[in-house]
Amino acid sequence: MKRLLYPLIASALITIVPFLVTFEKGQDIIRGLFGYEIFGLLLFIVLAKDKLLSTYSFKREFFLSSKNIQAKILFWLFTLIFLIIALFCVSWIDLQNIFAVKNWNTGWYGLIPFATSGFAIAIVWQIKPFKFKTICFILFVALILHLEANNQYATQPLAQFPTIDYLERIAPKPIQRTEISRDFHNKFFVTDSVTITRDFIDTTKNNVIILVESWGIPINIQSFERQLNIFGNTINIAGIHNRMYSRTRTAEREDLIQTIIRDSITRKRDTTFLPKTLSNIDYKTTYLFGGDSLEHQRYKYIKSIGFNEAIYGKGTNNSTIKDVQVISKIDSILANTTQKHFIAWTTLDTKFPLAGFSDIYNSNADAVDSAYSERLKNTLTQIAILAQKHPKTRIIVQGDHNPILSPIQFQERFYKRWVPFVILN
Amino acid sequence: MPFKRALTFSLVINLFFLALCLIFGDLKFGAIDDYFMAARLTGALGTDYNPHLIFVNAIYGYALLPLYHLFPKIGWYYIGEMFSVFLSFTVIGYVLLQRCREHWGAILATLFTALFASDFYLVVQFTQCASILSAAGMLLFAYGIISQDCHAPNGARNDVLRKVQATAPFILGIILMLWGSVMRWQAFLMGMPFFCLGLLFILRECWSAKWHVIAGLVILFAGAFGMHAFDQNIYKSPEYEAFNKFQGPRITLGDNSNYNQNAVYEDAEELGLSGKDYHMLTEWVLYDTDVFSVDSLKQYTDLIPPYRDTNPIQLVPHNLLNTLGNTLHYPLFWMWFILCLLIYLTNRTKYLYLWASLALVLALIAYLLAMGRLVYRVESGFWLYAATLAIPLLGKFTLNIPRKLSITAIAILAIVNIFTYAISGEIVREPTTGKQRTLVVDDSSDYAQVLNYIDSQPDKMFLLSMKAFMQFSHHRNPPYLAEPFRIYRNTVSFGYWTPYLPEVKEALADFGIKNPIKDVVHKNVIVLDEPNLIDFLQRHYYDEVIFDTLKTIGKMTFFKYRLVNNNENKEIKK
Repeated sequence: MKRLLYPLIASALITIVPFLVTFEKGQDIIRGLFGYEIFGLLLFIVLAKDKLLSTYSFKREFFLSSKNIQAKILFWLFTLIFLIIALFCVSWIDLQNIFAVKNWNTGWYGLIPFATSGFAIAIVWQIKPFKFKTICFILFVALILHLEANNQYATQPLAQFPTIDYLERIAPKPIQRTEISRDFHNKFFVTDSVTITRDFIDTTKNNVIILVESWGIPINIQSFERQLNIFGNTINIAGIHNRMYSRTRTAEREDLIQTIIRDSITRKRDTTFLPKTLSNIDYKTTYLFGGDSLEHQRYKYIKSIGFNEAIYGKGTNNSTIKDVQVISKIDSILANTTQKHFIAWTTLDTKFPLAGFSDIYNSNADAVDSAYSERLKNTLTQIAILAQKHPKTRIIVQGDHNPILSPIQFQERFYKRWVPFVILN
Repeated sequence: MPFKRALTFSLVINLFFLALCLIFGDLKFGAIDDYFMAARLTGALGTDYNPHLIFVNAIYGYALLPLYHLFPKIGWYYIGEMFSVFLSFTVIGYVLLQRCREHWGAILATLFTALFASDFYLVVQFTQCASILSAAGMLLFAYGIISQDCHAPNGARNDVLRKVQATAPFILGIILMLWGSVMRWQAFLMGMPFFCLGLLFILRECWSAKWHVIAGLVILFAGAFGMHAFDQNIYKSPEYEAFNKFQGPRITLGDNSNYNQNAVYEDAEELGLSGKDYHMLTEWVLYDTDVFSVDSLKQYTDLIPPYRDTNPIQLVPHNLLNTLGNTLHYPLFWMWFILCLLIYLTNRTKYLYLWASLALVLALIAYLLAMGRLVYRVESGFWLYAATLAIPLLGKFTLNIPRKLSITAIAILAIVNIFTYAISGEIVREPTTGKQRTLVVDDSSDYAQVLNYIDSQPDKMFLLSMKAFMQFSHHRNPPYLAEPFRIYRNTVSFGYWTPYLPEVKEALADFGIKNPIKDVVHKNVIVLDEPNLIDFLQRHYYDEVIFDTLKTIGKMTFFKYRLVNNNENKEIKK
């Protein structure tokens, strides 16, 4: 009985002491009573010690010094040393696991595993060993016993598995991309609102609403600041807002919503869009898109949003209109000062998959990044020039979604479902 | 123990459990796949018997054909599966009785069947049939090896009989394993590591029976691979070309969900594909030969791999521990555990089998977890293999229990089982998740009416949702009766694995349908339980489509899709 009880007590000692020493009121750490690996190691340490001593006394008794015996002694000695080192390591890992949960520094607590392990070895040192196969059997039954007990009473597990917990702890975690970091909150206006356009539209001026394709919030705040610097002193307000989906079409519609009324009886939604409201107060409303009108069936839904005019690229010569060309188009529309304008434009240059990267997901992330940044910079620069040229025109620039349809490594450089908005003039 | 006595004992035990399952259980296939394979075999999808069973080797179909011709009303597919389970249990029981002597053997055989019976009889299923047939065959093979070792030379008396006796387990074992490989090739292959492990632990005995072993293995592998090649060859014919090409995308889109579906949806939209179409594909509405042709499906399936769940290797031990903890809820795990304990108690030299078999099961589980495809019907097979191949390693039971005690134990087991089956015979384990569920179908719709409505209009083609199609499997004939010819001739599902089957294509052609989803507006087509096609049809084919509701029976509604303003041929360009 002692042979089983002592290792159990010793393993409990190693597992529980660090837990008790670091215990805080209100902490919620579920922890087993016995370290499974520790228990196993202790049983094997007793076995190895016994083998070593018996071989050694056998040698002394019969004055044998054959190579065979020497090798045996060395083997058991190294096994014993290895097992003891392993025991210290596992105890150390176990302590670190607790600290990882609590977010503490090791400090003087680092001594605990050495003290407890040393003490544990002392406890089991004198007991008689089990045979190898018996140890295997005990560990086998102990594992199943623990699992069954855990199924019955999950609040107090019997065994703790420090190495498995450790591996789980160091497993690569997905990059956190959903919560905007503190730095951004400190410097920018961060909002969940989806009514940016409606809130910032200025009915005393011309309004240009620009939806920049695949403009997301880089996780690296400096590169975001560099992007905003392009606009110089035309910036009125700059911020970050949330999107429900990463879809260009949803963003286009969402940004142009004036009101949504839900009928209380039929539950049907009725949406009023800004172009409609603005045409009622004598704005000329124009929609521009450099691509094909068939793309995402824009020819249908842009019409139903209620623009006076829609201009698409991909005409007879089957080529798209570059962002820079659309800008000059807008420039010429704004040149007509006889009436007020409301212009909405969805950019195209930064649309993925980017030209030159035939493999959507397996291209080099850095190459994609630099090509994308270059294109984005160009488009933003053109917008900045437009803003400077028409200081009396309110320009609202937003991203439609963070970059998608690109190498995952590249996608992970942006927050998910967050986009910039910049109010110019 | 004499042959006859052991066999009788085993038969009695297994008949008892079979009777319990038949009396108190709800007789159904464990998988709807089995139902439709049986239906295909009996010509319900087509016009004549068709032994090509898709997932089960055609040899099983050919073997059953004579029976169908003799007694066409009987569902031989189901009977064959049930018989295979019964046969396997009886073989395992027999070997247990032989190995552990009468008293212990009877208790263990009863326990074995008791712990496995519900999972195998009440949700009988080709994968599980394959596992248990292969397991029983492997056990018999191993038993042949070890028993050859014990009745060594014993004079020339009855030499021929002895030889036959010594060879019989090998022959029957190989037959069972081959039958297992026929029922499901992959399940048979998954048993092979266990077979190797089992033989490794009796390597010395294998050596003394080396000619039997070598000859046996050669026959086994030649037979198994030969039959598999024969079956695979059938589907190489041109009539299956469309069907074969369709399988990859079907599995990727319909069966697998271990990836970020939302990201795929959004990438599809960004690429100019339709997120709505992608959604339909994952919902198994995919029988459209133009928009969802195999080539265009590739555009969608190509988006999936980058978004597959990552399985960091560091999490493997943790996940395995969790899975193992969960496995303890299954009765069949405990049979393996009990047998492991018995190995240690009776034959200590084989103690390593405990950890070796556990490690093997965990390794295979880890492999399936990495694929995101760990399902109960496969996992239960692993434990079954591990448990069955523990039996040859059992040693002599030195502790003799009195006859009375053994009878009492068996009586208690029997009574407890009668009681549990009587009150919860309809509770089974879901073959996919392993969770307990009832066999009673939770759908109040009166399917007799639904089926009547369909059968009363043989000139109409009914195109239906996969859900409705699958529900039919519970409401046509019970599994032990054969579905008559042509019964599914005018019901074609938008999803499932039936699209593009030669007889389904024929049926569609008979009704003048070239492209099922597009042609729902034809006059002779009625749609069941699929009210969401309008958007798709208007996006791809027609200016304006509406539907009329023809009839609603419970949750099942019949729709007639039609074009507005008779502009039937005015298709917009795509």
